[in-house]
Amino acid sequence: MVRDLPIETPEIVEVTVAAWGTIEEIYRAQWAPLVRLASVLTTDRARAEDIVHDVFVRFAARPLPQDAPSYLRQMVVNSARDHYRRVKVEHRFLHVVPPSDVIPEVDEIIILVRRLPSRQRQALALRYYADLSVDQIAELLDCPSGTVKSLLHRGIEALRRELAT
Amino acid sequence: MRPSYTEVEGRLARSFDAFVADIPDHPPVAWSTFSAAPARRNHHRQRILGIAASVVLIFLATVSWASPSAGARYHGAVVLRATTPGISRLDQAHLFRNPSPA
Repeated sequence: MVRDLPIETPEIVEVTVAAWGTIEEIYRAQWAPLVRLASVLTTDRARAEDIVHDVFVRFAARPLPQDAPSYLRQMVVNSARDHYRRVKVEHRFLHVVPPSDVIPEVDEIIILVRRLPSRQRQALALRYYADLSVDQIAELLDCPSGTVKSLLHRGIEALRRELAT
Repeated sequence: MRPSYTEVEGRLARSFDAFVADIPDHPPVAWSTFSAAPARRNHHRQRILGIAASVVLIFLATVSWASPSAGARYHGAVVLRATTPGISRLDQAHLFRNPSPA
């Protein structure tokens, strides 16, 4: 396998094969949790798969971190945030058709979640899907814990209001 | 009627779980099938070779354009002597950048 790779120096071959073996394992183990997390964060399956793939391409080009799953989760959350920025611009200039892969029985809540501001949506997804603590969410979103509590409270209150109507 | 805070929390968690329930546990293709790193390296090498070849070609084209051939220089010298009476060979050499004028 080492000889098949078109790379000149043996040292580089060893390092690369070792790294690729590890990335292969990480990809196999982390793909599903990350796609699920990205799906919940973006509420768009196709975008979620794109985000996770881009994250892994960037991840493969970097030195392996100590805690790869947490590192990847942070990358996915950051990419989802970039996705919101792009979507905001898209909505400003285009008439975007919402994705059609919403499961009928969860339509109502998911549609209501989509209408929430992006920060509230992210906080709700990380709290009620990923089961993260307020402090962990604060670290991922790079904001104080009080802000996360406020985002969660406002998000749930908005949903309560919408569900009552 | 307005649902309670806990009720909304429960519905939200269930909706998120249901939304991602059909995502398979393993990726549809292995990471090695993308082969991003070797492909990128080969591409990089090809690009460097392409740039080097372009530089050599541009250099050769410039040199051939800037220095006329011996025949052209001789023809030029003959024309110059015919049209410019009294021109010295040194001036011709200077004009044609030729160290040994015909």
